[in-house]
Amino acid sequence: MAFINRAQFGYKAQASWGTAVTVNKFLDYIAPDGIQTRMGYIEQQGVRAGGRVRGHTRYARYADGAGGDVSFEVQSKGFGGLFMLANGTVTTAGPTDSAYTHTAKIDTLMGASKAFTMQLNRPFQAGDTNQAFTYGSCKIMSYRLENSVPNLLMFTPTIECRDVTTATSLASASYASGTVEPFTFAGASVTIGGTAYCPETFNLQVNNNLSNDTRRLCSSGLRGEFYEAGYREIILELGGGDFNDLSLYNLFTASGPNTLQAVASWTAATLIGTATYPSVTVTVDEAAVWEHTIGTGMDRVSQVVRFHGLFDGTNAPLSIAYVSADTSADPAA
Amino acid sequence: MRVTYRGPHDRVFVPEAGQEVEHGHSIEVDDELGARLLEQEGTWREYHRRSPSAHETTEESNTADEAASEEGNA
Repeated sequence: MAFINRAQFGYKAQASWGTAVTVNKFLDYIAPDGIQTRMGYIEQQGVRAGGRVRGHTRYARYADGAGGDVSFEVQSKGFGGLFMLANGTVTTAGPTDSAYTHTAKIDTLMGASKAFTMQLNRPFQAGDTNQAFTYGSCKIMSYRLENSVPNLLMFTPTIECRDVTTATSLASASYASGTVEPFTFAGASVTIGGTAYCPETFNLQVNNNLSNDTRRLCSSGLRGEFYEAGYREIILELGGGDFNDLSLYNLFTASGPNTLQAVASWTAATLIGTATYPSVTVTVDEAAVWEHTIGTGMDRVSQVVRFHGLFDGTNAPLSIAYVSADTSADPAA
Repeated sequence: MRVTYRGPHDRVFVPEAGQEVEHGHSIEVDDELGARLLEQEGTWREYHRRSPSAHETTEESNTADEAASEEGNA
């Protein structure tokens, strides 16, 4: 078996667009990943006598970057950097009780340390040898953070990359060790407006609204830095909650703007210090009920509530606080 | 070659070396692997063993080196 013991995902933030770096952060990921190389084609349209099929040299190819999804089971170590790249900034506090809190918030996704190099190993099936694919100048275009009964907390960024090379050697991986745990539905809790709420599913979708329409008549046709082309879209869907009262329905039908703070957190099983557990806490500061669906089944009545995360002008519209033994969440370090 | 881990985790496992190393501590790896690890700036650095002073054993010197490395990360 060539792949199972050679699967490898690594990344590191770049100092500048267009200059790939050696990856130094390695995470377990879900195979198969969805990252694929793309090529563009330009077919000549000229016609001539004697041909009913396009001539075999009558087209040109150009590199069109790479992209796709990669899914991760969020673990108690190693994820602060990806949360930063998905949102724009991270601040680290601590240590308190041997734990650091890395809080990722929405900020600019332009400039240094906002793009990253990503490397995946695609070993040859025959020969059991490594073949690294190194993707340069990547950005997280959107992401999903999901959990449901009875599953693990999953993080799935959709990644777009400017370029790809197969000439870079596979980096030597090192993985966080010791106690490295997943976050499960059993360690989850959700509050809406400070009141506990118990859905079956949690689905946060964030669209960073980055544009990759940055190809110009220069740079060998490669794309310039992907830029922020619209508001971030923050959509939180809580599915399968019991329909016990009208509180969320009334927020859906109310005429004026009204929002609540939605908080979801996951706690891992093993203490970092003496009283602090690894955790992930997602806070949508101003969550407006955008859609409300009531499901009436023979067994029970449930509701699906879809919130839009909005900005109050002061507080972070979305934050992901990651409590870990990791000393840093800087993806460029 | 000995290399010292200076990344963000309290400890890491290096599959190619089959070894685990704590933050601020070092492991012995072959030169080829060591060179590739050292390409990962910010995560690994070459371990420089200083000579033991007159009143130190080699083991005491190494322990002092790794402690100094830890301090360098603080």
